[in-house]
Amino acid sequence: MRALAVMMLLGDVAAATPARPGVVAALGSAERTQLAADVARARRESPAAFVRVRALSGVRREVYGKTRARRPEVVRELRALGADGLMPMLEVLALDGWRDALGDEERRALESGMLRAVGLLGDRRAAPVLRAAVEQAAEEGVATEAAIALGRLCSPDEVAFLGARAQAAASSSQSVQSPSAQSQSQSSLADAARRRAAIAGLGACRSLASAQRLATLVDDAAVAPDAAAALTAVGSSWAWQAAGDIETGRQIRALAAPVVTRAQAAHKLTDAQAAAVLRSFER
Amino acid sequence: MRRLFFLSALVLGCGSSAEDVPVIRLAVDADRDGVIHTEANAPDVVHRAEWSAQFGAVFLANVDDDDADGKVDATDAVVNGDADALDLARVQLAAWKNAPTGATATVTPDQAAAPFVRLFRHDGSAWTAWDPTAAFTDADLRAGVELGVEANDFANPTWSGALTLHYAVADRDGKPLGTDDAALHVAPLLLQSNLGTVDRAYVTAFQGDPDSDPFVADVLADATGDSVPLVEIDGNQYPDQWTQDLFEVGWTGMPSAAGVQSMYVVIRTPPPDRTAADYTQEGMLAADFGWVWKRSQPYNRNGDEGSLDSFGDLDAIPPYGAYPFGRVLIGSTPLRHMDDALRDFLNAQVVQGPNFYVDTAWLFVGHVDEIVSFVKANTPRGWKLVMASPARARKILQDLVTADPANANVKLFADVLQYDARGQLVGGGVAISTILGDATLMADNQVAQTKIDGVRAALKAEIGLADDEILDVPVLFEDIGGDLAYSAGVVNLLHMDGRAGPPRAHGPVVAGKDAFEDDFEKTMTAIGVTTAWVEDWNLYHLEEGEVHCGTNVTRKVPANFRWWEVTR
Repeated sequence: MRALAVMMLLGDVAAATPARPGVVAALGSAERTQLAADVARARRESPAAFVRVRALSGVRREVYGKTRARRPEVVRELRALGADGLMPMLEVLALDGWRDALGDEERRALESGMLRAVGLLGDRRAAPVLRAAVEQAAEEGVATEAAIALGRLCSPDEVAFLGARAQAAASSSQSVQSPSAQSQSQSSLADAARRRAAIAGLGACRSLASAQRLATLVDDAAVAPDAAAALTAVGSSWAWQAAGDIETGRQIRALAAPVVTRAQAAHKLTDAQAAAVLRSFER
Repeated sequence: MRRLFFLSALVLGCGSSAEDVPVIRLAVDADRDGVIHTEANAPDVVHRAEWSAQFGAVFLANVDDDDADGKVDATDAVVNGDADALDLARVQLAAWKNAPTGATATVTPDQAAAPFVRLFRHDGSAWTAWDPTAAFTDADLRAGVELGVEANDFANPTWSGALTLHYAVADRDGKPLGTDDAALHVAPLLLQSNLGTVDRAYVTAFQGDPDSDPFVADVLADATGDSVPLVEIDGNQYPDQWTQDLFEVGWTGMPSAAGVQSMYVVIRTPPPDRTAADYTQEGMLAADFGWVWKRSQPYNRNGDEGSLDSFGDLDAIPPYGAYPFGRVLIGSTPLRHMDDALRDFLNAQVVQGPNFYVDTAWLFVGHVDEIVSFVKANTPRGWKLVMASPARARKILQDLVTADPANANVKLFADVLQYDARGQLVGGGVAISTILGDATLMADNQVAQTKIDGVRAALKAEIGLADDEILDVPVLFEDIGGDLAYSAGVVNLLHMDGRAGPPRAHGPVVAGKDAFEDDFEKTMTAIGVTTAWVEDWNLYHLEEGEVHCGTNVTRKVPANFRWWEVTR
């Protein structure tokens, strides 16, 4: 059974290679078929969004060269598409890629920006692509954006998925990494980098469950600062106040504050790192 | 000691006159009065090899363009007129009236300094380049010789800026008659903090552009209000609105009879492909206005890194403690930082260093001027630190709602386009309730506040600032894969002599007052700073920057110019 799955997945991978710029996820056949159908339907219903995605200006040097950062940036443009932007973006990320030539930095900005914009939409149909991207992305920045986007979906599935990958490398690769990911593992990406990405993803999921995962990671000296930084967002009192859910925020604070203080005492966190987290719980 | 006495007695008292004593003596402006005295007991001789707060000669990197040929003077071996001669530090070979016939001498710079130093010889009214391998004649020795020294660069990672001149005299057979050494230090390139008196301001003007014209008009009004001339850089010829990022103007100087022989020095931003920065060479390099360009060669940095080579990320903390000329401030982390060549060059200037780094890597653009500024203040210290504060912005919004729940419907950005919560660029504004109810935006802002708190703590500890010396001004951020000002970044201001020119806030207007602007103005008024708002929304804010990013200034050489009294 496992061998069959491997063969099927390898076949998918082969179909997706060589990857075009923009492609960050090679899906299994069923997911790929489903996505292709969703994309086709969306193209019929909202063709303009596809045109607009293909006309993105933020990766064009003559445009971003005039901004202050002089860096390619597409998030705001893509966000402006609203929900109609989802399928055109997923089409790029998991099916067709970007058709025009891109420099490395432009490609990274496109991939990262699309992942971020997809995440902001909070649409569960993106989950398979985002999971695959977390597994397969060959660059930490791209893997991180995929994990953040996945974290924003924030269901128990995402917490489990990201939580597993946030554990130490040995256990995570045994328990969750798919054969396709291993083979595709264009993954020159180190396990530690993928761990950090997953932790950042947990940080995008404002929930008690995510906070619990992160709290255990604060005890792990190897990732304590990353986990603490993620807790800053998860436990953000401003965010919980904005969401009108002071109680969950309070529970997270009660859960995480002692852990952070303990990690600080054990020199797993610097004073500044610990103070930053604790402040975010309190204001 | 006794032996020396007997030797002296032999020379001076036993059949020889004082005039027979070899005079192998260099004199430099060791007492820093701009005049050189060559008598044996003159401070310029006694302290000729010293470098201390009291004594030590200085020379200049001759990087201005006194002959208006469009090139830095030090690139040629010519003294380009009387003005250029003033940029040479003088070194005097004391006259040895009885120098023996056939005697010769050389003056050579030490090996480390040699590539960066040029000597000139003054004969009557003319200066000519002097080859250190050439020899002075016996006639030269009898008459004494005046030399001029210039550097073709400032101190840098391969040269400390120290120069030792070695004077060696030999008889007609080449037998050594004696030597002498004198030391000089090249003057550093010093940056100016916001406290410096403004000499002129700059803005890139795109004439006829509906977004550029009001910006330029507001900056002009601000500058005029301070009696500062505004230089409008032609945006058609130099199409880059980020005037701050193109260059930084500092100064350098050495002691002179008038106090200081100084010049402004413009530093060009490192990227060669930022061709609008050619303005620095084509429009700024001039007499008493030097030019340098420090960059890795080849320069091969992507936008993420390269953004930190823009000079919105280079500032100076105003004078404090052991830094009477302020201290270089750069947004930088080990993973995202300024071009090594420039960073190391700035460190090599020493007087304002080592560079002080704060973490700005979390910002999308990554510049220190997105979160920090400095303004004059009527306080004992004379200035205060201004910091962007999401907490302040949020509190203002909350207070408005608390005062009257109906204010929740009041909109920010009501009269401009803004990215809404879904990222759409729309008019009509965003309600306070939408902002305060956006959990993602609020989380982003609280995280941003923790980052800013880290910078605040670092600056506070370094400078010794009290809490009331830090002014929080309202700025909201958004995370687009790095933080960017969501509301107008009012911290990103042009400060001219106690006038703050922040971007128009376009905040919530209640009872006819923009609450963000009102808060800012009250904060500034309390310390004697006036506010002159500048409209920058379309051309700057929406393109990732604000007023400071779009302007620049040259600040006058400070009244306290004696940088040489700082020893590190």
